[in-house]
Amino acid sequence: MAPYRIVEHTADAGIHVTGGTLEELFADAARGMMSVICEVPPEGWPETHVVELSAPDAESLIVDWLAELLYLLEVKNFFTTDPRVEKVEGGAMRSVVGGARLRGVVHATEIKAVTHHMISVDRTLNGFETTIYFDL
Amino acid sequence: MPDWTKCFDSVSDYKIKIPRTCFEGMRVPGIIYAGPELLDDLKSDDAPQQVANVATLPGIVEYSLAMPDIHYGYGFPIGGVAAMSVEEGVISPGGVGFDINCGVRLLASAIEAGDARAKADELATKLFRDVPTGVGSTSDIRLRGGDMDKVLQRGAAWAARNGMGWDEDLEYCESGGALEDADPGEVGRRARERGANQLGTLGAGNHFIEVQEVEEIFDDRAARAFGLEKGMAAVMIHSGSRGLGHQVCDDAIRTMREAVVRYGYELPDRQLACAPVESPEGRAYYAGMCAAANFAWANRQCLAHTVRGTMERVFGASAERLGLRLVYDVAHNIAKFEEHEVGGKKRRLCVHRKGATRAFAAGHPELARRHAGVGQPVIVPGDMGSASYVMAGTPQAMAETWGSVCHGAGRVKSRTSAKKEFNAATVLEELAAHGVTVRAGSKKSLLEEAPGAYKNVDHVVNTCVNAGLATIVARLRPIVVIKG
Repeated sequence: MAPYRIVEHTADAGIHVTGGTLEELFADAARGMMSVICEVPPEGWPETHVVELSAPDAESLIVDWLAELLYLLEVKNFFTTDPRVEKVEGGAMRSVVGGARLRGVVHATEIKAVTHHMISVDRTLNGFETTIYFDL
Repeated sequence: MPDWTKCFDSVSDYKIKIPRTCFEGMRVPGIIYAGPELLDDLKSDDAPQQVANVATLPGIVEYSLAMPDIHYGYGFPIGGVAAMSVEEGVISPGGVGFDINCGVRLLASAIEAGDARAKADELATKLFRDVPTGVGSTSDIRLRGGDMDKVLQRGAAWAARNGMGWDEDLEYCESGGALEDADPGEVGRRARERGANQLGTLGAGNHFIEVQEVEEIFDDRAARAFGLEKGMAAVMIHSGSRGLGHQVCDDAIRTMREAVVRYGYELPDRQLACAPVESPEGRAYYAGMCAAANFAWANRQCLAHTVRGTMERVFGASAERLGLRLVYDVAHNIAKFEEHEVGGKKRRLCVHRKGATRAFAAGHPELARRHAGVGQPVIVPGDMGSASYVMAGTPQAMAETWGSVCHGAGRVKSRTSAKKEFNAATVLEELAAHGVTVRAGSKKSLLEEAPGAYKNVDHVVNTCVNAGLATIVARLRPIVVIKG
C-alpha cells in the first residue's frame, strides 16, 4: 500500500498516511503534504534544515511538524523533498530535512495551514495511521 | 456519514432546524438556510455535523447557524455563524479560520463594460503581470522600521495614507478598514516574517481579481447609493491576510489546544479549540486576530491600488477620471463584538463568521452615511463562469442571523474530483463562450476553481432573499478573471 493518499474534502484537501513507525509516518506525511502543493518537486539549490520540535501529544506534534515545513517554504523558499525523520519519541522529534531553495515564484497549490480537524494518530496492526486536512 | 436528513426539521421552505436532541452535547439547535434546490448538495455533505459540533461550544447563544453556501470546512462549517456570550462563552480561532479577514472588495467604474470587453486580453495580461500571485510571490511594498506595527494597527488607512488609496475608501470598508482592538504585540515573529513581503499579493486557491460587467440592477435606489450603474465595468478583489493571518491563527490554536485541557472543555473536533472570551488566551487571540484583520484590509487596499494603476495605463486616464470608486469591502472570516437583541434585550455578543458576511440593515449606526437608508452592501462572488451579486442587509437578518448572510456560491466538488472531472481546454473554451478571459497560474488552479466545482450562485442568493436575509441589488458578470 502506498504510504499516503490524497483524501477528498469539499473545500480543502487531506492526506491519509500510514507508517510502520512514527518516524515513517511523519516522513510520509511530509511527502504527502508536499505532493499536494506540487506533484513534481520544483527545481532549486540543494539545502538542508534541522527541525526539532516538541508537543503535548503525537497529534499536535505531527501538525506542528508539517506547519514547520510550510513555514520553511513560505519564509525561506525551501521546498522539502527528503524529510529524514530521525526520531519521534515522548512528544519530541528531530529531522534533517533535505530539499531545494526555490529560485522564484511557483504556481502551485498554496496550503494556508495544517488543520487539527478531526486529527487522530492511531495504532494499526502494521504500525500507525492518520488523516490530516489542509486549509487551501 | 450519518443520515442527517433524519434530523432535519423543516421550519420553512428555506430554513431547516437540527434539534438539540439530534447530537449529544448540543447546547442549542442548529439552523441551516437552504432552499429546495440546495437540499441535495446539503444531504451529500457532512457539513450538518459541523453545525451540530459548533452547537456544543460553551456559551453559544440561541442557534448554531449556517448560511445557504454551507459546505464542509474544518472546525466550523464554511458558512457558519455563531454568537457567543461575552460573559460565559468562548472565542475560537476555528470559528474564524486561518485566513483571518479573508474578504471581498468591489470597485465601481465609469468605464463602459463594452470598452472593458474590447480590451479584455490586454487587461487580463497586465493585471496578471502587475498583481503578484502564486506560491512565494512577493510585492514591491517594503515595510521598514515600525511600518508593520502601523499596518497592524491602522489597516487600510495605513495604505491609503501612504499613497495607496483615497481617503473616501476607508468610509466604504466594513469597520472603516481597521479594528481598533488590534494589538500588534499579539502578532508573533513568525507571523510577521510570513507577512513581511506579502502586502499587496493576491495568494492562490480561490482568491481572484475579476473585471465584471454590472449586468442587471434589481433595486435602483440601493444601486445608486452603492454607486453601481447598469452596463458599466466593476472590479472585484478576493483576498485575505496571507501568511501573517494564517500564522496568527496557527499560534492561537497551539495556545488554545492546551487551554482546552485547562478549562476542562470536551470538544468534538480539535479544530474547535477555544478559550473563554474574557480569559487571557481569549483576549490575546482577539487582539492578534484584529491585527491580522487589519493586515488583510491593508492588503486589499494595496491590491486595489495596483488595480487602479493597471486600469489607468490600459485606459489612458486617471483612476479618478475612470470613476474607480470603492463600493464596499467586506470581511467574511472574522469574530467581532456586536450588540444584538436577544429575548427583547440588547446584548453584547462575540459573533463568529466563518465564510459568512456581515449584512447590517438600513439604519444601523455602523453603516456609512451613503448606505444608511438602504442597508449594508453585501458582496457575493459566484464562480468565474457565471455571476456575482451585490445584495443589501435586512432587518430580518438582524433578527435571525446576527446580521449575517452568505459569502459566495460555496463549493460542491472537492478540488481532487474537479481535477479528475474537468479538462483545462474545455473549461477555457466554455469560459470563452461566456465571454470570460482568464489568466491562471496553472492548469491545476484553473481546474480546481472550475465553475462546475461550485453551487449555482443563483440558488444561494435566492435562498437568502426568500428567507428574508437580504435583498438583491445588482448582478455582475465576469469579463476578465485573474487567479493565482
